[in-house]
Amino acid sequence: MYSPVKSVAIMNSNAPLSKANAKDALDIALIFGSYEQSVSLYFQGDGVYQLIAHQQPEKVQQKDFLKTFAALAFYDIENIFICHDSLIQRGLADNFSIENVQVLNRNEYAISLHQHQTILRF
Amino acid sequence: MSMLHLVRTSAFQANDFEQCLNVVQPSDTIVLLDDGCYNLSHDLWQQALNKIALPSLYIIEAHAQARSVNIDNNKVNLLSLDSLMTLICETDKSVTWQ
Repeated sequence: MYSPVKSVAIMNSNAPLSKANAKDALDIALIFGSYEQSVSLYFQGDGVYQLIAHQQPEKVQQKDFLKTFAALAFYDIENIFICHDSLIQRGLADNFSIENVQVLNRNEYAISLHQHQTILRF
Repeated sequence: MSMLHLVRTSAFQANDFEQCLNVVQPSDTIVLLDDGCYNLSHDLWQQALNKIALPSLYIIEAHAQARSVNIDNNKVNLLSLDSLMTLICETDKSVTWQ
């Protein structure tokens, strides 16, 4: 049987500042990236808030780890998907802190997610 | 007896804010803080505006700015953390929704 290369999806469903989930997910993505593993990032639910532009974590005495999203390209992490329905629900525009993100409708998002062998949810 | 409601979670993720709205009275005060700031763009915020007059609806300015949440002055008033402390001391009782 044909076995495709294993790929990992990291599913982000929490807002960035109140919990450590977002930071943990990003750290793990970068670790996979540095070992040249195939990794894709998915943002849904409150996870879409992670990529919104002009956030200022220093206002709540937090280090701006969101800046690290800009480094994803250097780790060859180029598959970044956002659920369009989650953006609409929250009244958010397609105004992200990084370029090269793909906004997918619910169906496309689900199909894309199903292509991965391992899914980690944060 | 008026009550201060401190809303700390996003209604898109949890139903704390919905539970809060089920018990608020017109004389109460609502403060959005931490991820609760995201509720400003949730449909439920309209319910809050219907139940409580605008002068008693607040959002913590630094928390909103940290999250890049757009402030509409017709929907909410800005509050500093120092003023929140004053507000808590002035109010008879408070509930934290988280």
